[in-house]
Amino acid sequence: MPVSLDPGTDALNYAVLRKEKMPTDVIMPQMGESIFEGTITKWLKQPGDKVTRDEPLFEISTDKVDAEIPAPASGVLKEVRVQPGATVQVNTVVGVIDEAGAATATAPAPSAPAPQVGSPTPNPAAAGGDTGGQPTTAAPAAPATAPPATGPATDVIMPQMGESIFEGTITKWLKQPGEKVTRDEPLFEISTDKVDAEIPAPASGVLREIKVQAGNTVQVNTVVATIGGNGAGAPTAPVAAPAAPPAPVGVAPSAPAPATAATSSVADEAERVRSSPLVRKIAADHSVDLRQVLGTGNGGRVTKEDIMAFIERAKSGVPQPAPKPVAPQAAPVAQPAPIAPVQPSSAAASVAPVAATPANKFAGVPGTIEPMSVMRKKISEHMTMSKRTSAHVHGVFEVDMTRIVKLREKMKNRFQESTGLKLTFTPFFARAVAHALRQWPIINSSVEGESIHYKRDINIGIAVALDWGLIVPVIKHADELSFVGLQRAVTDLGERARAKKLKPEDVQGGTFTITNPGIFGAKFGMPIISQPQVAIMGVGAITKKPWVVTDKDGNDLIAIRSMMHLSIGYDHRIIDGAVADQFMSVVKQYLENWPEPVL
Amino acid sequence: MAKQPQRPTREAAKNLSGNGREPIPPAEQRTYSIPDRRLECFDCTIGLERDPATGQTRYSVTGDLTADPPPIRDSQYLSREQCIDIYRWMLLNRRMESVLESLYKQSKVVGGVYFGLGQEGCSCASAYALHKDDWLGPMIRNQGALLVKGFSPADIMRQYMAKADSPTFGRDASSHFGDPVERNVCAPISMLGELIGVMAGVCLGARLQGRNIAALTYIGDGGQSTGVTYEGLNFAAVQKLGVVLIVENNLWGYSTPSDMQFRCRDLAERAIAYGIPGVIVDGTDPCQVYDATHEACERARRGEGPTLIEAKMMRMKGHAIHDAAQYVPKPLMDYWLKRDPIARFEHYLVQDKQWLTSDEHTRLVAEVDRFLAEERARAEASPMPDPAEDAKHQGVYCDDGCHQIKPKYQEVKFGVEKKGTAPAAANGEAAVHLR
Amino acid sequence: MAAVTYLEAIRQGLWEEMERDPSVFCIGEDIGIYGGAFKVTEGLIDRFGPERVVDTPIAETAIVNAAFGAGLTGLRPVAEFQFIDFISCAFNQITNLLAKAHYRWNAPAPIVLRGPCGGGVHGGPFHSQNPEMYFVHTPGLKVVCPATAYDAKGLIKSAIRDNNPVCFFEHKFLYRRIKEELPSEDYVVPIGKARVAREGRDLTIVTYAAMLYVALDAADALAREGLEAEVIDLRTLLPLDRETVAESVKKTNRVLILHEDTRTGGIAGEIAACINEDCFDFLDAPIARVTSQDTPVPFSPPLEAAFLPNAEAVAREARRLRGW
Repeated sequence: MPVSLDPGTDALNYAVLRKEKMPTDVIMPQMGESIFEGTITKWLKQPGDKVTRDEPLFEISTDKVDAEIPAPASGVLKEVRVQPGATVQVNTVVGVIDEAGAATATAPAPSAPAPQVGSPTPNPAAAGGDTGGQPTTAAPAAPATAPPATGPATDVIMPQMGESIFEGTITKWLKQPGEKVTRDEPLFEISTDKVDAEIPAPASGVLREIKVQAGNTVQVNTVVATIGGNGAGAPTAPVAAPAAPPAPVGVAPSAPAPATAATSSVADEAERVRSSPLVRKIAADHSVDLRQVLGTGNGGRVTKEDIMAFIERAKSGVPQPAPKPVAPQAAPVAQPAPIAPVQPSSAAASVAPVAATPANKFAGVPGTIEPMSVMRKKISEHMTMSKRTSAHVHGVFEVDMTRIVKLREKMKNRFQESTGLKLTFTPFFARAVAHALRQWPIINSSVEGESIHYKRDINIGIAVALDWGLIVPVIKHADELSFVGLQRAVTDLGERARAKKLKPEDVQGGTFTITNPGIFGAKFGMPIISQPQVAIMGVGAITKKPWVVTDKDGNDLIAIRSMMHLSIGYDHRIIDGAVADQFMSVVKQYLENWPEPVL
Repeated sequence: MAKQPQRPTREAAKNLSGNGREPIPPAEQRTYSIPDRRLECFDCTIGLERDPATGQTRYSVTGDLTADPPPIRDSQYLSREQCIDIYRWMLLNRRMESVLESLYKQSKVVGGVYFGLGQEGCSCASAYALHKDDWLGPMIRNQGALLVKGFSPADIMRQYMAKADSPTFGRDASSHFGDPVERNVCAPISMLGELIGVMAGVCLGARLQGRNIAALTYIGDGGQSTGVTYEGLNFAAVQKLGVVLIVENNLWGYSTPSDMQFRCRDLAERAIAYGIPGVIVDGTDPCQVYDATHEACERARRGEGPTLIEAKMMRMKGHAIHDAAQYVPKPLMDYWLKRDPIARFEHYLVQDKQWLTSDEHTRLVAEVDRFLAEERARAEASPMPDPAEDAKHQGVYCDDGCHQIKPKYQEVKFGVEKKGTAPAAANGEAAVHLR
Repeated sequence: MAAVTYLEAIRQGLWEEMERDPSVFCIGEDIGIYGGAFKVTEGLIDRFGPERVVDTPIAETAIVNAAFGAGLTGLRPVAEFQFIDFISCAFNQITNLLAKAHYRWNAPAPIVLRGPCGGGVHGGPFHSQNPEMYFVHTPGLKVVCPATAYDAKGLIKSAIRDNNPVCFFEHKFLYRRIKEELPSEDYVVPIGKARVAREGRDLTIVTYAAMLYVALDAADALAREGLEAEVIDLRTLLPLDRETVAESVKKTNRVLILHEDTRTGGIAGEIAACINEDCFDFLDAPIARVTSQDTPVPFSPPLEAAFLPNAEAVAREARRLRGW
């Protein structure tokens, strides 16, 4: 029967054959528990040379020792894989000895010797231990006048010669297979960098088999020989061991994919409502869909009070305030299932219908009903929440932009040539705002409970109108950027916003927002603050107007100027009108007297 | 090893307790000499040298290493039977360690093995001087002392093999076990010098109970470098507590020679600084070790305070089994091989004294081996611990009535007379207030 | 009956236990005629004699080792550290010898290790420390930190009667600052039981030792704003009474942990983990902690004041939790 040597198809047999019949590998020994590598300093034999077991074969040098390494087997040195001077990890195969003595010193691939005949795989590893069951500890001391005719076989194992030793090298066998041994009689010698030791036999009997020849390094607890009761037993007689049935790896039909994840998105959506472990537990206990609950906590979080009030109102039939929009994904699903099967508590019974209360009160009115997009829903939610949270006040300033319009007109070609960016008005506003925010840190703050959090960084959000809504990417550290840097950020964020390439962090962390209602001609807007910020500036359209100016001689003249309205929406909880106006006047001054070059 | 304990009266104990200090003698009467009981003086130094050929740094020994070993000094106290008894303990100590070495190389021992090779005479003869009520604080190499104090070789083997029925149920290794109830042995910890203060406390506790006892512990020439050694022995000296400290100067602290551990010539000299007696003995001569320890214990039992004994010898193996001790210069090893305590004591008993015939000696050795074979079989048959069963043994806390704490010797009598100045305190069980 | 200071309460506890049980004795530096650096042991030597009030050399390792040795003979030593800062000198003895003895070799170590801890007294880096967590991390020890005179007396008696090594940390800021009337009869306060020092429904403040008073001050201020804080005095840090903490968190849903020990590796982290394990579902806000800073205890009064937690910081954090 031809034996396949393809390890992919028959790894087990391959391994067995390797051990049984392949040439002997010469490996870099571990000469100490902390030694990971060794350097070959010299080969004492060359490929083609005959070697005898235990004859010095090569020399190594490690951090701890320099040592001559004996050949692990007799034969012909077939191959030297690691040349002198090279450093390799322990257990690396550094050479190969062909035990058969065949002088095919250059055989490139391991040539497969004839396999053992017979279908049960010969398993020498099982030969020793298979006769008497499991290896046993040594029998009680008995004068080993004669080995018992039968008896348990005892494994001889590589001892651990130090707490962190992993391997040991057998340097010499003091007994040969078939010889009698007495317990505690020296059986073999091992070597490490710390000790060279004679290892006594663990039991009396006959050395049946040497599994690891001298010169080899094996892990501790490896069975290196067996001592058996049967003195007559041929040491290497292969014992027929039933081949292990191959594991059905790769044969098993691929299991059907677990339940598709498609249905989970609804539950995920509910989870995304900001709440707390307690609120989620109460919601589950009362079968409340958290999306229906108005959150009044920080960032719109549903608090314990919110959900308790919700349940209370549901019980008493009071209408719920400002329910949040239902997630669009929920539409095809009849009704979002309550989280987990809920035990019908007394409260639950009356609460259950609550989820359905925002029923369509315009039912019957002609028209089409479309669920809001996620973005729409978020904007809706956020704007409502902001109006509810902040005490909005607005102010409007008129700014003479003539200097900037002229500067931009003059510079825009050069700017594009040297930076590749289109010069827009936005970085002028961002620069002026950053300048003013530094002077009025309260505008760059947020309300946290009863505290005011003055933000260290100035991160300016720029509202970008999109066909499908509105998004506000943020210029981080706007006060630290050069003018060109600001324009680059504005261009980049705008482009990516329109290409839907913004990353989550691009829209987070804003401390102040600039919006641009003038883009379609509005004189000014009254923008809603983006929470948790406390102010937002709206930029109106720039139009040429007759304007009274005073020349340097003090004469008033009517001139054609490029004028613009700037509006400020601010949170009167912490910002009073005087403060907001002074802030805006800094912005105005900066723009009207633009002080810096754009390149 | 039975000796009739000399029990000082309670009155005597009280009079000798720590607060009375006899007047310091005038300067001209003070003596600063340390008696040296040895019959030869090892006078070599170990230093560093560079091998000019290889460029390697190694230890070298300078001094005369040619002398033949001295005879055993006759004991002033030991009888023939007691000498043979001590010899038997020494044999058991050494041959048990050979068994441990075999078990180790057969992968049956977990961790390392620590040997007292060359130090058996010191371990066994010193512990032999203890009475039943005295305490022992062994160090890692004092397995012989543990045997003398009543632990079995199987106990020690199980401890090394981490067996379920080892004295620590597999929770700790080597000589790290003890018995505060019957054998009065305190388990050491790996940090060196701690037991000196502990033994002082044992003596303090006993004195409060009206007893002056001896508490024997050891420290190496390496371990004595620690600060706790000073703190413990100084406290014992100040309080006149019966600590018997044997400094086992075996020349090596792991791989560092004693000449790199301390500057003074003899460690026993340190006794002068503590204000206590010090004496030097040959640690390979069990008679010298016993006599010095016996005298120190008698002082302790009279309430006269601690004694420092320096026992000079050499550790004849590495620090532990994985240490081949190749750093020990060969002439030094050869010198001390000739001073093997067991060979010398055997020669003393069989040749010099003729207290044992050759046949009797052979039988004694065979008897020790037979005993050890039984002990080994018992220890090897013991199961390894089962984590699920481990909770049956004591936990980290001593709660739930696992121990009754009560004075070991007798009730404390000091300060128990009512004087009426104390705030009123009711006796008996206290009310538990849960406010 | 006269009110008794925290310090006198400890002395009474020692005194009564030494009268009740002759196997109790004290050992430490300057505890005899001088009566201890803080006079906790004053008068004991006259009453119980030098045999049971043992003055030692300045040698913390010898004190702990000797206490352990005496414990082996069946006595109950009470070892004093002049300042608890010096307990680090005996760290090896406590964590390796005492703490492991019962588990390793079935030897009880019925020893009390007591001494003054804590800051607020301008003691500087070596006379103000709160080293409890080194020992809370060591299996086999018990760690007790009383905050009231009543508890100090009840717990020192429990510690002495305990069969385990007990670290008994007395807050020196409290020694003579607080007073209360104590019951005339013998009583003990069990080790391992926390106490609800103030009831409240909106927020739980978990604390111990001198910070109890900071927590109570903050709770008063918060009450004026309509926020009712519950204050838990742990009393024992090891073993930790996690049941009492969990019970309170289940009621208030918000928790703030306050300690004078430094922040990183302080017991607040451990308690937060316990709350996560025991009652995560009951949290309506993140777990907050108010602690001293991760520096040594500074010496100069303004620096020390900035280092230590105060009632304002606690109230501020409590408000943040409410608004969360």
